[in-house]
Amino acid sequence: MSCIYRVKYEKNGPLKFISHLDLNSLFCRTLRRAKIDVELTQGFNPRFKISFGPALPLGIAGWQEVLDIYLLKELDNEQIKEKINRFAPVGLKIKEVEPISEKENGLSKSLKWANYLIQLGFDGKINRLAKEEYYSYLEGNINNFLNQKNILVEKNTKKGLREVDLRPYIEKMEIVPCQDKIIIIRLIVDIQYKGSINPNLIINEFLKKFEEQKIGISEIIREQLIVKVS
Amino acid sequence: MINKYGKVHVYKKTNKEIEKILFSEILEKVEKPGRYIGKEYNEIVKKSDNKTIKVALSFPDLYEIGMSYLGFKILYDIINKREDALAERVFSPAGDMEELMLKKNIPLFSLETYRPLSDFDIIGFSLQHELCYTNVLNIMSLGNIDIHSFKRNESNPLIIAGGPSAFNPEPLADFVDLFVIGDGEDIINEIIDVYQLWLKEGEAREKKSLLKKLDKLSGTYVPSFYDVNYFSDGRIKSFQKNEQEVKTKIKKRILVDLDSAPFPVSPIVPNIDIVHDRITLEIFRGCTRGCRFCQAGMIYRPVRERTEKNLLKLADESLEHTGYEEISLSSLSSSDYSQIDSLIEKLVDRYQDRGVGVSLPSLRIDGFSVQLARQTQRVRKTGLTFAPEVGTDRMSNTVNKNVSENDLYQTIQYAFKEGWRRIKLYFMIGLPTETWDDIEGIINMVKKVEMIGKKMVGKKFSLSISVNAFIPKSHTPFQWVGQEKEDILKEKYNYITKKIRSKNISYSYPDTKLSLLEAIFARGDRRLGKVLEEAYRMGCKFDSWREYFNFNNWETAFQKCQIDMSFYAHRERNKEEIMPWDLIDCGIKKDFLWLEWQRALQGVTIDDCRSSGCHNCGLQEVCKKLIETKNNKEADVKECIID
Repeated sequence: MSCIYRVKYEKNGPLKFISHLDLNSLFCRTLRRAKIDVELTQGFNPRFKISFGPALPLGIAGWQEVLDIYLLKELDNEQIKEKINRFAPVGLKIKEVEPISEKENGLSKSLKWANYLIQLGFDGKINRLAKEEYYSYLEGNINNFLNQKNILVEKNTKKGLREVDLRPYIEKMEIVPCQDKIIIIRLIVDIQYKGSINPNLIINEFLKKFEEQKIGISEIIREQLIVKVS
Repeated sequence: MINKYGKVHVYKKTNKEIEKILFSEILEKVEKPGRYIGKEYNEIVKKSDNKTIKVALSFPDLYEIGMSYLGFKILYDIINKREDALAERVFSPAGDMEELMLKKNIPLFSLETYRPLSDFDIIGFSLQHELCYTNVLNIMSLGNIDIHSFKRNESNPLIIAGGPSAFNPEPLADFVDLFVIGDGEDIINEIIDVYQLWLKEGEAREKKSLLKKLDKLSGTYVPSFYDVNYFSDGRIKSFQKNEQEVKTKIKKRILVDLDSAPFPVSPIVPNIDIVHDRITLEIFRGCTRGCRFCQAGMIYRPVRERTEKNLLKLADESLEHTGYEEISLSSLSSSDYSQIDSLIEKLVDRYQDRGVGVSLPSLRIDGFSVQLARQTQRVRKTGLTFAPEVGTDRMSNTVNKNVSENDLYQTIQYAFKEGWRRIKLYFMIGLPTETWDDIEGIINMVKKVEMIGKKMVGKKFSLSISVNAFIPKSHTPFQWVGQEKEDILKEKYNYITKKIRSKNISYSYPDTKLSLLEAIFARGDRRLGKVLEEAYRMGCKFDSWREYFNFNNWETAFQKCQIDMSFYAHRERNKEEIMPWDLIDCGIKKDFLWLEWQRALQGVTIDDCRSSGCHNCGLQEVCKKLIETKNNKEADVKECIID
């Protein structure tokens, strides 16, 4: 009987630029340093039994990423969190650990949506008035964008250019009210529909309409991954 | 300051500005941004004041290559342990990064603090091979540092260089202020000590006085203190000192007591995958097998082992501090370590439950080595690599490899029997006295190994064959011979390709132009400096990378400088000729190398001096000291027990 723990963590700062595969070995090495005994997989090359949530695209920080680890013996939640954090490199921080039952596992199946925050960047400075104008202007455009039946774009894949319909991926898209002179869009995408999609693709398509205004993406953060409650 | 693209840097950026631009405007646009960030586990970021000597350890290749070298980690550890100095890392940026850096006007910076390269006191280059020289120049240029040493003064960083290629330093003589020959552990501290003393001279201090002080240390070479005279046919006539009190010979530094030497047990754990992503446990330094083509086998002599007890301790500490899942037992020929079987057994026993593997980099060709490999495979299964180098017993005698064709077949049989299905073999062509029979020999050997595989395990195995061109290197018995001409090398590669084509076999060989360039610089003199500069200005860099290598530019550079490639690469040199590296004393006598060359021509072999007794290579005194140190240590241990 293994003890499974669901770990929520932050991948930020320098680790924003680290690939999913590299994060895997980085996490395993952190666990070894922390002397947390993880179950080994069977086979020629035994590895730590860990299942990761969906990959974060390079350059995007994650505030509440998820993974499951299979430990050899039961450990206190807080102790796991503290031990890992003590030996983690800059940019990796465990936020929450909780044990889960064998039934609940199958991480990739249970995560349904990814919630992104996109801060828009403007070429020029915007003052308060301009911001409010942009607000309603953008809002209308979001509605138009979402009212399309298909949003077809060309996507670079390993097999060359391929046409993808972005619309079915988009669960929700809205402007987040905030005090500062910045504009943030929240985008919720379905990650179970044909795998995950890079939010850059969606936002860049949306921003095509504003080419003259020179609006671009200044930062994207994956706020959290959402579990579908059945 | 104007860089090679003629771009003018308006003002100097601070490290804070560099960091900001890097994170907001650059990283998301480059391939593998993790190379340029630092911030890894075990990275050392030290506070500094104006008395701290700041050293930039610079590796003239990509992050994932440089981070794989043990020597780099050793120096990082030693320097950072000092209170009065710090070491930070600098690597060559890839093409996409370089372009963006120039566009955004940011100079090359260190990974620890994003400090501009020109703000360091000392820049130390690691020279692992000759094809990195354009990158050395490029690093200086991207760091806004003049590439010519005569144009730099006391307000610029001191440029030093070490590593195996520093054993023929001459091609870089115009650019590097000081070369360090041999083991770096002690001398790096001595250099920093001298630098500290020099700083105390205050405002009036001059670069020349620093270089003179550094020249007093053993193992240092200041190329600007020597002039070279040439015969009209291009050969070197003499080396002449232009400063009275400087050294006549530069003796390489030898660390006698490796066991007590510092070892980095908390190396940086990279955030991205690198070439050798594991703990490198150096079990011994040096090799006395005496393969006549092998430069490492000559310049790293004599053999110095770490004790098993110490290695077990170092392994434990390294694992604890890094969390790595693999330890590689590194050396030039790891199965030659005196307690190798017991060491492997103990390491595997200790770590296998934790999923930590032990690996051997390459194997000697015998059953014992396969047995060792089998021990290590208790945790992780990989392929096996052997280097028969040659295909006939005759050639084996010429190069003093001391492995027979039958040794290989027996070893291969044993390997298949023990369950291996992936085998890699290394060969070399273009060796002195080589005939087409020797090429046929390689083909027959590969075919026979394939046959053994088919007979023993059927179709399910793979052989990968890697053939390289022999490149004559300095300080070896083959330093006098010419490299084989390109057209013949090509013919041989193609012939082998045709003959060994099979489903089970994959075959690779390098660009012959690359081997030519390596041969030129391996035995070149300081006149090549202008070619190097010319090629670098035309954009040559990362020459060892296929996607960057541009031979046309190199050819133009040689033509412009009116320098004949063949003179350096293909010409056979005679016994009396003064070699460009003759000032450098690697400990092995030139007479011994010549005698070995003569033995090669006669097909006479010599055994490893550890088993057959001393061959008088020139290092007898050091060997004596080694034995004394060892005996003293053992005596100390006994005393401790009695106490």
